[in-house]
Amino acid sequence: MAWLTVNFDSKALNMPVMLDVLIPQGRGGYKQLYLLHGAGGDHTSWLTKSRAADYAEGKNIAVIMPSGNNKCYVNNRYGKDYFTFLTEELVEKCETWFSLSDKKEDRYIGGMSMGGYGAVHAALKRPDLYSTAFSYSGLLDISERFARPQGLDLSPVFGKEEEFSTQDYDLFDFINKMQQKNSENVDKTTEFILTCGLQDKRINMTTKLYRSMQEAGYRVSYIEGQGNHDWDYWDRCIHNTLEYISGKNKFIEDEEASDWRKLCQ
Amino acid sequence: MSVMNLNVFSMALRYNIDCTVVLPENIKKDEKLKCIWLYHGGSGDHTAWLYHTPLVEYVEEKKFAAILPNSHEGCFVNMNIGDKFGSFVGKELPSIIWNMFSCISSERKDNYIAGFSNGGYGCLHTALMYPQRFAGVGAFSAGDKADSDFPNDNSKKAKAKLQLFGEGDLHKTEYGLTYLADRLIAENVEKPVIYHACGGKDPWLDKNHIVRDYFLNHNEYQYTYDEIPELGHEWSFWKEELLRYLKFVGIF
Repeated sequence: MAWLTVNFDSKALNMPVMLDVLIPQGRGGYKQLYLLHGAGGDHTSWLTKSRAADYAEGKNIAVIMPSGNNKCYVNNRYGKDYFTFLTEELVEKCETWFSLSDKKEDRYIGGMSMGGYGAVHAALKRPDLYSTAFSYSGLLDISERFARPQGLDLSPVFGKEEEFSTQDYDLFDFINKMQQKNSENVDKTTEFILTCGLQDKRINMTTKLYRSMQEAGYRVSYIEGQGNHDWDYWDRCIHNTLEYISGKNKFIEDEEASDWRKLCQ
Repeated sequence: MSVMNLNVFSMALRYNIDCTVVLPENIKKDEKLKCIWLYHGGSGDHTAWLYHTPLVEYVEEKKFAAILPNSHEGCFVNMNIGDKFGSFVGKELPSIIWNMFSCISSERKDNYIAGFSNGGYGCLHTALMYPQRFAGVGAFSAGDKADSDFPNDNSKKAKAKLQLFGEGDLHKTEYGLTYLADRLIAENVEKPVIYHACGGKDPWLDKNHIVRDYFLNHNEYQYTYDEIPELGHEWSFWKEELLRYLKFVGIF
């Protein structure tokens, strides 16, 4: 497996950006996993803090890791278009540069914390693009986060709380809105896998979104396991995810393993 | 433009090694770019061409791909005692790149190598070892290592040479450029188009002339020689020759 650090001029963001890519050294046609980091991190987070590269070894998957710059992977109310970057430019660029499969069934997106929100947000709005979205300890309820920002000022990203629905930033809002439309016309073919550690203080965000999505008829699974809001937990998440995508169903000595294996079947 | 640092595991070397990939900005889907492979000199690495020339601007303006491999101090050959850089840059890395990058053409007619000094020798060596892969070669300040003087005086330089090429006359070994060139004539295979250049003030100008005279005397090769009298063994020369070579192969 090869590791690429890419520097290119993004048109969507109007600035040079960096990303890390893990890619097999085989004959091409690889599946793609867009892997998003959380607040405070960047394109290096998954590589420096988890064993993602080790787990990706020998699998037919390219792992693409962009930077989110604390901007939640949405088109910002007062800032740049990170959603356009993630769902249009980045996909276009990677599929032009590299020998990747461009089928929806081979395109995956996942992330932890803020990246979990970004992954679910992207897959809800672009169900044509991703076969599966993974959220690990996702910051899935931005209204709750907005009320308790804990030092992270999200107003440039989302604007005022009353403005959330104008851009469909709030996932619950968005799901409700889609339900009110003609429900039969909503593409619900994308699979959502929401995971969270039982010791995570914000586990309610994941369970709440799981229920909403389930009620709305999305293909959604919820997996909980021992774990906190930390890299010990996300390391197991990325391990399971890569096994899941590669379809090898390898046995993992892990409390959640049985749940993941069930999903794999 | 996109500049990528590519870290690959090499089977030939049995370890990981870096390589620079430069791509233009607006590539169409399924477009196959022409590709130039650029070899560095002694004490250089896969970033040399990037930092000392306007390569990135050329790539952007003329829409081609550039690959800058690293061969440490290995002269881009399989060392006598040491790493197999020759197999890596001539065989393994091209397969990796052509498989990995759907936007880079793997056709012989679209792939060219160029290099300077040690990499000038190296690119001629690769082009003559793997004539089926590269259509042409641009060798700047490139003598034949078989022609270089080699006093085995126990110096550091002598030790490095022994490690690279071994002792004795290299003219009848695969390290000798004329040996490889003769072999291609004998095998009657398609040969790379050779562009060769040296600065008039290069301390190894005489060695370059030996290479020049060989190819001028063997018209089986399509060969062009260029000399810039006022320049020596220096970046201002290699920078100019890169541009001239890109024009020569019709990229610029």
